[in-house]
Amino acid sequence: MWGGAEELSVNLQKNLIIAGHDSEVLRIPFQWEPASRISSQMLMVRALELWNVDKVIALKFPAFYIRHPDKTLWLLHQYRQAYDLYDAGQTNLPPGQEGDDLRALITNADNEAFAESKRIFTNSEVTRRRLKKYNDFDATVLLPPINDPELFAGGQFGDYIFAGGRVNGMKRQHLLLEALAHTSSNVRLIIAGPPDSPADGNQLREAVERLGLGDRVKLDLRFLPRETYAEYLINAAAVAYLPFDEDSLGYVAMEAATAGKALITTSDSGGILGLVKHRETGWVAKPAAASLADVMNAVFVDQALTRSYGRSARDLWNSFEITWPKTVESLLQ
Amino acid sequence: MKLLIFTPAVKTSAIGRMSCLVTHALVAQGHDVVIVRAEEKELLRRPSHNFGTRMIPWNDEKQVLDAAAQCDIAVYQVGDNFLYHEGCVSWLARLPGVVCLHDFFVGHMFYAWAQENMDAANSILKHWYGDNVVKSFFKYPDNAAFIEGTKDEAPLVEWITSQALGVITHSRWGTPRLIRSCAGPVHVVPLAYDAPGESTMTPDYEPNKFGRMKLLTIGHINRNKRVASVIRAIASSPLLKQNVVYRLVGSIDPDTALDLSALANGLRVNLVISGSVDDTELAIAVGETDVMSCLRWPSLEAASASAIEAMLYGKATVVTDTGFYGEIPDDCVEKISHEDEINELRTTLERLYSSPGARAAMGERARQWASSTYSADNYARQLVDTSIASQRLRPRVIAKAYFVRVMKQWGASDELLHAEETLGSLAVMS
Repeated sequence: MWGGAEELSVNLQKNLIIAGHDSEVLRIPFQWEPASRISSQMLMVRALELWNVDKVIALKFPAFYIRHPDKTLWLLHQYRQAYDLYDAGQTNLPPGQEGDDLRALITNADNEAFAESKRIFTNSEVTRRRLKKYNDFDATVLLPPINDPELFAGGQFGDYIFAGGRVNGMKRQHLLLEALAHTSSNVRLIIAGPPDSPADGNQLREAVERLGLGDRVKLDLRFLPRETYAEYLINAAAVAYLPFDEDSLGYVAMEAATAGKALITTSDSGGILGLVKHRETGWVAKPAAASLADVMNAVFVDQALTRSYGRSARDLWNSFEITWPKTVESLLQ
Repeated sequence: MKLLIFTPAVKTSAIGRMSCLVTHALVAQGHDVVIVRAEEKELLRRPSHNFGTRMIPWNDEKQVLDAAAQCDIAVYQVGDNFLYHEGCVSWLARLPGVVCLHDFFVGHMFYAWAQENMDAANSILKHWYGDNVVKSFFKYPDNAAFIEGTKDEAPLVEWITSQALGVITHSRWGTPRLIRSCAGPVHVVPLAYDAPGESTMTPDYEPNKFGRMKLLTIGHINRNKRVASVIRAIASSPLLKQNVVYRLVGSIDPDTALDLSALANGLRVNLVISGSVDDTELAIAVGETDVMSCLRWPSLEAASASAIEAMLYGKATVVTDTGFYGEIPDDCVEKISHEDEINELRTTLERLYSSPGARAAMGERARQWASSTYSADNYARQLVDTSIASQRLRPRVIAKAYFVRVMKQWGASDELLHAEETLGSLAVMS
């Protein structure tokens, strides 16, 4: 798997080296399924010893079980199926006693790892709150910087809304298509990014066909070169990103703000709400096609207003002062 | 190899006698041995077997630690008697080593140890056997009920062997529990024993002297030696009643002596109770006898010194067909089924009475087999081999223990620890 966490680790390594340190990424294999194998994978990580390094920065479950006297957590992921997703009935843990035992094991092991960490940062306010709620540990939010800000300068105010990033049910690109069917005919949409599975791609293609949106939608469903992705983004009128209850701001939103684009999201999207202020930096719609259609129309009704939202988004993002040198400095404190 | 052997050494201990034999064999094979006497404080003052090597008491912590620092392996001779093995229990957890387990039931030793360690004892009972055993273990009305209630469900061998790096025991029947509870090797090695009184045995032994067959039971006389059944079997046969003298040699409490005498008198069986005797007199008693009775029920020991002794002396021996006794070759002893004890015993004794020649032939077969099997040299060699194997396995055992400890720190339930996936991931260290 290669996702945001992996991308972040590579860029953290790069920026540690830029700051004058030796740095390596240790990737630890982990598979969610079957759930009965989770405990043995946790044990495997717990047995790892890295006594030949001065400091360990651990990013996610179960990698943060590694023992080290100087360990800092930059928590991107706990095993959410044992926490909030369990409460939401979206867990892969087995029902009954077996699942309860596994959940208790994960909670206890997490608590042990958190207690022995020198400092704990989280990648978002959502992650920080979850850590406090379920494990009663305090943490400092350390938002991840974007990795190649130079790609997100310039560009035009185009005639489309851009939705970039991984394509899957949780990212809800299909909801944008449903909404588009309710908008004026001048609203166009580009969805670009790699589907997690063939079914995720097919679902979008089927929706375009079913809703008769072929002339207003471009689907570019593949792993895009960064330059291609940036081209789509900097030439959009606005950027839409509406994951379901995601922890972080999301790279798509951060890059859009860097590019000075107005943002569209939904009220249940989680971390991104730290960057999308309704009618200030963009629009926060209800997670329903009609509500989304209204804000998609609004993008093109008053272009000056939309541009001003984009500038506000950039200003807000810049006010966070999220840069790699500062991030590295915090992590090495 | 340098061995630190924790063992009772007092002369009254059969395990001490066996340890002494093995120690001499180890030294003869070129090994260094230091003996740590394991009896409780009062018994430490009493005369010991002659081990012919340095001997220190278990409760002299400095001496034991100094000796441990110099040794390659610690060895513990463990039987079901806290008075004889207190030092073993006290040191095993601190200084893990190879356990030579003489009984497949150590409930009495645990019971005595628990009196000063009740919280730990309850936790051990709960861990191995569950809450019901915790509730009942210390509440039996008498010893017989205690043995009956615990021998199968809570024999406590796991308490000892789970702390061991490896285990030697002396018969196969109780080993499944040991294999489950000990992370190291479990080896079955015939007990080391000899026939020290052979030279003093009656030279003019005559079968059925004066027309009477002498039948003998030796050792501490208690219920599980089945003396009452022997008396009833004799009483049930006019031939035996008329022609058998049944003698008991060994310690016996007054109530038991009274009960057995009353039973024998009532049934007109010729019973002689000699009580405790010295080694010479015991050897003479064995030498004079025609048949030895080594019946046991229940049978909880890994090996029986008295049955081995009987065979080493070439005596016809009657045993219960169970446990250690059941593993003796069929043509070396007469095996009696417990379910039909008195009837089978009667017909067996009648046959033995009537066939002195067959009796002698069986005794000779037993003597030859026992002499080659219960050898101190063999035991010493296998003890060294097991010690080396245990040391080699130690890193793997420690690794497994580490992972289990981590899981427990994380609050893993027993079900999770025993899950196929968990065991599978630990199996790589087996």
